[in-house]
Amino acid sequence: MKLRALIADTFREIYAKKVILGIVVIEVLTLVITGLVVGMISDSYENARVTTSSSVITAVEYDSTEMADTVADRLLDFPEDSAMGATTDTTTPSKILEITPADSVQLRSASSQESLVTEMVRGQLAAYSTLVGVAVFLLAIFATAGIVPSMMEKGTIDVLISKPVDRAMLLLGRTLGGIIAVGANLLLFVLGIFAIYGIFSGVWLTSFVVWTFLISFFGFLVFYSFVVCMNILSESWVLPMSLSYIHIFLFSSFLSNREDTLYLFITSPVAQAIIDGLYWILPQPFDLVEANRSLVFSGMVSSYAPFIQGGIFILVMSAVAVWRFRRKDF
Amino acid sequence: MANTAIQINGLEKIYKGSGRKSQPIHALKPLDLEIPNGQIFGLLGPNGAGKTTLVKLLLGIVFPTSGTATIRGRAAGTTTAKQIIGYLPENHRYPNYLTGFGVLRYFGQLSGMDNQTIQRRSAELLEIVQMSQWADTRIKQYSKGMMQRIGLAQAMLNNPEVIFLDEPTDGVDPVGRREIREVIAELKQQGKTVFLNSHLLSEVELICDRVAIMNKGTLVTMGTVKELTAMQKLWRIEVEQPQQPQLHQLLARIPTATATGNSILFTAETLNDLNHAIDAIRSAGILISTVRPERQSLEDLFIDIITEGGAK
Ligand SMILES: Nc1ncnc2c1ncn2[C@@H]1O[C@H](COP(=O)(O)OP(=O)(O)OP(=O)(O)O)[C@@H](O)[C@H]1O
Ligand SMILES: [Mg+2]
Repeated sequence: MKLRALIADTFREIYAKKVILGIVVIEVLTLVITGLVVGMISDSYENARVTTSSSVITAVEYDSTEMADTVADRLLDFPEDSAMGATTDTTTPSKILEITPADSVQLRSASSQESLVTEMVRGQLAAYSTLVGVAVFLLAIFATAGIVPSMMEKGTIDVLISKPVDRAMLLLGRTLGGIIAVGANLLLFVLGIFAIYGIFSGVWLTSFVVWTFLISFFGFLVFYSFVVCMNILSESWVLPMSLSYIHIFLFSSFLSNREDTLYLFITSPVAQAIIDGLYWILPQPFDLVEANRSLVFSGMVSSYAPFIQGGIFILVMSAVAVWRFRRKDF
Repeated sequence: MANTAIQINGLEKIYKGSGRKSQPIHALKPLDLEIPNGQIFGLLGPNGAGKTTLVKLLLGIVFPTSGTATIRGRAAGTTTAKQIIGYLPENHRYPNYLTGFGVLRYFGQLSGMDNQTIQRRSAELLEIVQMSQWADTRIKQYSKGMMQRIGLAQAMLNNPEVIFLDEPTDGVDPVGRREIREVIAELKQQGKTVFLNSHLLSEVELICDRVAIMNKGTLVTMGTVKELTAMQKLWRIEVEQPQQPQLHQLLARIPTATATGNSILFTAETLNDLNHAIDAIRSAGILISTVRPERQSLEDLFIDIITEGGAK
């Protein structure tokens, strides 16, 4: 009852501050654009349905080359690229076949039962999952970074603490409010994309919904636990938000690809050990997004480490947050 | 114990200074205090004296550096203690997207009240603080005095046994202030204990059973308003014919006396001093009609204490 009242109040505040409204507008626009683009290229799905099974390799090839693209490239170019790629590729299968790399041959056996159009949708949605992951980090952190600080404002927190509610419950109600709002929003958005693709291509790729929702949500929780912890320690909402953004867009991709980037010029074993340590301590959004993409695309994931690491990170951050919040002077 | 509302034993608070250079602030020096049930207790003191700090310690909003406190036998700051407490903080703020009634419902739910009780109590209290016609207006549109009234209603919602009011009349007009005084007096009638922080001495004088004056984290003095104001060493001596030249000669010899009209105001450290002065006046052949202790207003006392404290 008390918890419900706290969560309900958080919803009211989120609603009143119109942050979520702004995000919903962005999402609806994105869905509309997606609908238009997918509608425009829906012919390519039709074409794909009637082509021979040899084209399966083409689609697989298209996707595996894309896998090597950077996140940013995929974000910017994906709709036109995939549309054009799919149509031009199907007309010239033999040429592509010659340069088929080994991994796509491997994939072919697993996916040869599926139709070409499923493969196309799979590839496009896998790319889309990256977009969703990055957008969730960006928007959801922005939307929720102020929720705990606004409760801790002078005059607000005093009344709350004077009520017979444990401080941990105050914090839980507040954060749960934000988490549920983000989760519901995310689920609707992912379902929207799922439906658009389903309608235009006839392929209802449930694994996209499941993985993208779960992993993006999980990634959000990892960062939100950090944001809340820093909210309490620093009494600021800008600082944890900025740190999260810097990590997501800068550090994490370097840390995740440290062997191919940083270690090229940092050769000291001590420095490398420190960087390794940082990689394992800090959130790994890059790896999570990558795992998501790979799960949607192939149903497989190279490593569960980012999930285990994320889970431990959430636990540690939450424990520190609750501990500090319960002992804090207001 | 059964008759004690608030029991404070050696309660002390040192705020760690924030920022790199700042000193720790000794906001409350170790304090022992017992406040009986059913009284209105007024805590006076200049800005920064530590009044709010004391209340926050009793509510568990800040944690003591040392010492303990209980509220009706329940350890201060615990959920059990909070069940019988109401609090109106200074500079209180409520979610401004809520209506007046919405605020009461929200805090009622947090106090564990059921919806029916909340409805009934809210209607009663909104009537008492004269906010019924504003119940469905968003508090975004409230004036300062209206906020104060809704805050007061919020503090009384769960029918608490002990109520802490930190500057309840802050920003309220004179009529409103009187109404709030009446509400507080009514709480006393119901047997509640009221802990009142205030700057407004006249107000404290009017309603408080006991008053304590705090300065720089220390309780300087405490007692009933009557006791505190009578403690002064000022005497009024009224005489029959004030124009007599002997009187003027006499007054010139007593530096602590001043004459106004037919009375002399005289500061005497001891009763001996007072009687010597009376002897002197009598031996000059002047007839005395009245000798009585002069009551200082609480404000005078307050300023005395604060400036003494400042001079030290
Ligand atoms: N959260 C805090 N952190 C550090 N110092 C604080 C904090 N709160 C209060 N203080 C300091 O403690 C001292 C007492 O403050 P307090 O708010 O208790 O005074 P007060 O008597 O209520 O004053 P006022 O009449 O202005 O409300 C002040 O010197 C203040 O600067
Ligand atoms: Mg104060």
